[in-house]
Amino acid sequence: MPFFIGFVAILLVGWWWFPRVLFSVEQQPLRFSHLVHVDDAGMACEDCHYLNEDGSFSGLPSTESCAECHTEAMGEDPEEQRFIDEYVNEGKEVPWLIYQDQPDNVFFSHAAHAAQDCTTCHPDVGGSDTPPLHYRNKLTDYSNGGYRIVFGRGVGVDPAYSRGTMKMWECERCHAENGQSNACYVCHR
Amino acid sequence: MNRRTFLSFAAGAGAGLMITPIPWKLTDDISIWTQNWKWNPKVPKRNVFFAEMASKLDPAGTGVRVALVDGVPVGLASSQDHPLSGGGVSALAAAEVGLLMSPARVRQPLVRTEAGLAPISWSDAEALLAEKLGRAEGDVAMISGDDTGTANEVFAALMHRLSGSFYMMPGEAQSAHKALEKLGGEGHLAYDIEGADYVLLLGADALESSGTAVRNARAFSQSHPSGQPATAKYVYAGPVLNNTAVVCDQWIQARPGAAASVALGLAHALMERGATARANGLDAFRRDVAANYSPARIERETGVRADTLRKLAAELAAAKRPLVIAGSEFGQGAGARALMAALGLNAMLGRINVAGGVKIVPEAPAVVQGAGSAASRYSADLVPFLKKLAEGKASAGVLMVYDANPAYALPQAELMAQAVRRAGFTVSFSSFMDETAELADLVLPSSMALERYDDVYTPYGAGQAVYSLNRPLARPAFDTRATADVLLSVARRLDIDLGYLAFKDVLRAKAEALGADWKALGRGAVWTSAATTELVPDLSAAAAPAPRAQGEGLLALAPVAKHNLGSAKVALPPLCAATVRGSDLMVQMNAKTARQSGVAEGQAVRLSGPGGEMTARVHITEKVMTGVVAAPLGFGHTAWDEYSRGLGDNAYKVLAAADDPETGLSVWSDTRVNIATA
Repeated sequence: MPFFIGFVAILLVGWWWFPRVLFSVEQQPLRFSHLVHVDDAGMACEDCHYLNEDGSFSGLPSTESCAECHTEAMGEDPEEQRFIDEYVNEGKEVPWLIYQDQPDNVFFSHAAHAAQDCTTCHPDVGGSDTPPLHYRNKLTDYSNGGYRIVFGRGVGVDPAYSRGTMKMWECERCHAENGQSNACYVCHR
Repeated sequence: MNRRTFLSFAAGAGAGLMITPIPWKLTDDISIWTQNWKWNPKVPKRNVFFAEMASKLDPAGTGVRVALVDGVPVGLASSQDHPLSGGGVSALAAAEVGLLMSPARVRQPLVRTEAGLAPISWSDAEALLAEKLGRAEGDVAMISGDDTGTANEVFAALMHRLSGSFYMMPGEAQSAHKALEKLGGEGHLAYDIEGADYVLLLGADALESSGTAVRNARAFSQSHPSGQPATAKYVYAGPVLNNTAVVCDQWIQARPGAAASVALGLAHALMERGATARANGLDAFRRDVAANYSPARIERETGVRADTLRKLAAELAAAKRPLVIAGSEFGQGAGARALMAALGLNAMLGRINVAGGVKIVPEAPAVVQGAGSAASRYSADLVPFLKKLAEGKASAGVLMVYDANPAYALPQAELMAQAVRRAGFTVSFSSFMDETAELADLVLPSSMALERYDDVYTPYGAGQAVYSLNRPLARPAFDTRATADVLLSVARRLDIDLGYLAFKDVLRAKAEALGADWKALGRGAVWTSAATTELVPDLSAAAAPAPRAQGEGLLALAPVAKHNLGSAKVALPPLCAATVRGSDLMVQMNAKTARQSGVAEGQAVRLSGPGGEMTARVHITEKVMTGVVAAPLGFGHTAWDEYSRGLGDNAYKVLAAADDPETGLSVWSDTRVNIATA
C-alpha cells in the first residue's frame, strides 16, 4: 500500500504540480481579436504578416502600421481605446509575447519555409477572439502555446498541440521528412 | 510510519518518478539553461529595418547600411550604392554601432566639482555655459574636429557673434584648404582616382587612412582585377611599407615628410623634359624648383634616388591620365606645402579639373549667417594657439572642444593637455570620456551619428561633390544631445539669434541650398554633383623652401596611422581589440638601423624627440627604410576604456610642430628622434 501511495503521489506531482511550477502563464499585453480583423474588417493574413523584399519576415505589425486605421477608436471595445492611449499616442511598440521565440543560436528564415502552412509551426489563431495564453519555461525562457506531454516522439511537448519554441529534434525531423539537409550550419550560423 | 513503510513509499515514488516528466524534462531544460544564459544580451525579436547613413567616425564619410530592430542597431554592413564606399567599409565606420554602448561613453552631462566630475542636468549645464560665455565674450575659442559637417557653421557663427576664435583640428582637409588658398583657389580638393591610369601617392596613405580611403581601395581593386593585367599603375613613395604601399605596384623609399620635396623634384625632372603648365607665377616656380629641387639634392634629402625620380617623371609624362596625391604619411602635420607642390605637379601634367585628375569641388553654400566660408574656418592654425595658451602667452576664458581630442592627438601632446588645463573654463562635447573630456570643467556629451541629425559634405579627396544626411535612426543610448542643438539653445539664452531653432532646420536649409531633395536624403539617398571650380593656380609660392625638420636626432620618426587602431578622435574600437596583441608599443626599424642604433629585437627603448619622450619595444622588419623608426599611432591612451587604456605609449608626445609663416600652417611630418635603451 505505501508503495502504491508513493507511486500515485509522485505521478500527481510530476504530471499536475510540476508543469504548473515550471511554466509561468502570461497574457498578451492587449486582447487582440484576429476574428474582428479577418471576419469584420475583411483583412488577409498577409496585410500584417509578410515577407520583406530582402527575404526577412515582418511577423508583427508595428504600432505605426496599426495606426494607419487606429488613430482614433473605430469600435467600442475598451481594449482598442487602451491600445490607442497607451501605444499609438505614446509612440510605443506593443511588447507582444511570441509563442515561437527561437533562441539566438538558431538562424531561421521564413522565406525558406514559405511553402509550409503557417500552422505547421504556429498556433492557428486566425479565428481567435482572444489570444492564447503564453506559457514561459522559467528555466529556459522557451515558450509554449500550451503544455501537454505525450509519449512517443521525444518526451516533452507535443508539437502538434503546443506550437511553442521548437526544439532541435523537431526541426531535424521535418528537414529529414522533407529531404532537407540537417547539417549544423543550416541553422547554426 | 516505520522504516519498512517509508522505504516502500520511497520505492513507489522512485518508480513513479521515472514515468513523470520531472527527471527527463529537468535534464533537458538544465542543458538548455546552461547554453542560453539569461544574462547574455539577446537580439530583440522585431522586424529588421535597414537604413543607410554616412559614418562620422570615419573621416572619409563612408556610407554604411545599418540594421535596426525596434530602434536598436544590431548590425552594420557596407553600403553598395554610396559613392564613397562602393561596397567597402572601414574599421572606423564599422565601429559606429559597437561604440554606441562603449564603456567610455559619457552617459549624462557632467560638471567639475571638488570631488571630480559630477552629473548635472542639461538645463543647468546650458545655463552654466551661457553664463560663462556671456562673461568671457571676446575671450572664447572653439575647436572642431568635424571636417565634413554643417555643424561647423553653427559653431563658427556663434564664435563670430561672441568675438571669439574658431579653430579646426589640423588634418588633411585643412592642408587642402590652405594649399588651395595659397594657390589662389577655393573649394575642396578631390581626386578622380577611378579615372586615373597612373596614381602616384607621395606619403598619402590613400588606401588605409588618407582621404576617401575605402573608395580609393575599391578603385585600386577594380584597376587590379584578379588574374588579369592591371589597368592602372599605383606607386607609393614613403618611409614605411604600410597598408597602401604593400599592395601598390611599386614602393619607393622616401623619408618621412618628403612629399613636397619629391613632388618638386619630379617637377624639376619634368621641366628638364620641357614640360610647362597653365598657371600663373610659373617663372618664380621654375626658378625655385631649378634652384632647390634638383634630383641630386632630392636624393640627398629624401632618399629617393635621382635615376628613380627621373624614371618616375618619365612614367608620369607617358601616362595618359596620371594623378599625383600628396600628404602626410599619418594624415596630420603636412602643412600646406606638400599639397601645394602636388597641385603644381598636377598642373604641369595638365591634370586639374580633367577626368582622372584633381578636381576642385565648389564649397557648399553657407546657410548660417556669420559662419563665413569653409576656407575661412580653416584659416586659423590651432597648434601655435594652444602652445601659447599652455605657455601663458594667450588666453581663453572659455575653450570649447567638439569632436576632437587635442589633449592626445596633437604634437607635444603633453603641452596640448597643459593648454586645455590653462583655459579658464573648458567644455568638452565629446561622446566619449577621452583625454580632453577628463580635463574639462563641463562635459556635454554629444549624441553619436546614429542618434542625431547630421550631414557629410565632400570629405577631402572625394572624386566629386557628395552630400549625405544622417537622421536619428537609433534611440539615444544615454542622456546625450546633438551639440549643434545644444549651442543653438545656449545662443538663445545669450539672446543671440543664429537664424534657426533646431539643427535639423539648418540641415534642411543646406539641402535646399545645394538643390538636394530633402526627403530623398532622409531615405538615405546621396546627392552628388560633378560641378568643378575653375582653377589657374598661382605657383609663385608653390616651390618656396620648406621649414626644416624638427629635432636633432639621428633617426627620422614615421608615425603610422591605421584605422583599426582608431584615429585622432577615437581610441581603439572594441571590435578591433583583437588586432592588438600584448600591451607594449612596438616601434619598427630595419636591421641596419637597429645595428647602427645599437638596439635589438624586443628590446625596450626610449625615443626622445623635440616634443618629448616615449617608451616602446623594438621590432626589426625590412618594411621600414634605413634611418627611419616607425611608430604606430593610437596607443598610450590614459582615458577611454579598458580596451584602449594602458596600451603602449603615445607617439604624438614626441612630435613637435615647426612654424611656417609663409603658409600660416604648422608642419610636423618631419621629426627627428634619438633612440636609447630604456
